[in-house]
Amino acid sequence: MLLLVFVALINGTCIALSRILNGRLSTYKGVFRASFTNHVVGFAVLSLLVLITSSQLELTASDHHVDWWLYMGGAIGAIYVALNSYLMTNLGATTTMTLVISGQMLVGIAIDYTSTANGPLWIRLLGAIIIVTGIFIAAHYQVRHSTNEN
Amino acid sequence: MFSFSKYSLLALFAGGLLAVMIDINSALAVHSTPLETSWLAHGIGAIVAYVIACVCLPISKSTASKATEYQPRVPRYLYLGGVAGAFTVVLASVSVNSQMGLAGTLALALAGQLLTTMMCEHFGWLGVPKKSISSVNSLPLLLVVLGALLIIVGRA
Repeated sequence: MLLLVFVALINGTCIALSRILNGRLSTYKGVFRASFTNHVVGFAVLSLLVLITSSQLELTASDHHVDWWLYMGGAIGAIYVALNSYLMTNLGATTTMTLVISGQMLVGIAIDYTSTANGPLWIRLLGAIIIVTGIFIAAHYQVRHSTNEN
Repeated sequence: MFSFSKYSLLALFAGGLLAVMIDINSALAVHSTPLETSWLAHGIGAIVAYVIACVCLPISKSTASKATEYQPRVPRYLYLGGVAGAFTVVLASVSVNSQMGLAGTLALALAGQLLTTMMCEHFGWLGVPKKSISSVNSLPLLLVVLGALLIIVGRA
């Protein structure tokens, strides 16, 4: 359990590092070129890792049927980058971050709730509200801080 | 501040898309491996990102032209963002397919993200403007951790 918590937290670390580095890259190249570069670099590194670690591709080796939409995760990620930059310019950083996290937590809880029958829903919704409050404060503070500096 | 507009709805939708994306990737990882899932997602993502760049760059030319005219040398290490992104999909797949579930994974990812950003700010790592950790800016982290605990406990 503790190991899994650690894995999930390190996932967050990777997201932060990716966002910070990619955010800075996009100040040189623009959002769209940076996003493309980001995907290509990731793909190159993963190609190497896949080559080293697996003797054969599990997907081609597996005989069970895989729904086509399961391959769409990468496409959604690329679309999200464009969507996010569009929203940032129209809503500002605080509102965009808060609403995106809200949508993310709500849909996350909904998918979890429908796919696995388990504990009470209200505790999880309360958790989501507390998280969104925290993100709102963080985003608001960050935006005020950076506008004060400029 | 929250004047409800079509943009607000779109932002909620975008967040929902992210949750669906992570769920889809993790489902694919059940059929293959987390590493292969990330590999496929980045390959397909690169193609889609290329198409989006081709479509959107001419439209946003007026704002992008500044960035393209002035081309200072890009610090090499900024390209490593893609490496971090590669591991994001791998680690998320492992976590979602465990007791953490999708919501627990998302919540803890936010906690890890805040903590990492705060550390980068505190030490000024990766060219992030320095900002010391204080009681004020650690409040969000506290709230996110509390919320994450409730979500994980509420699932069990």
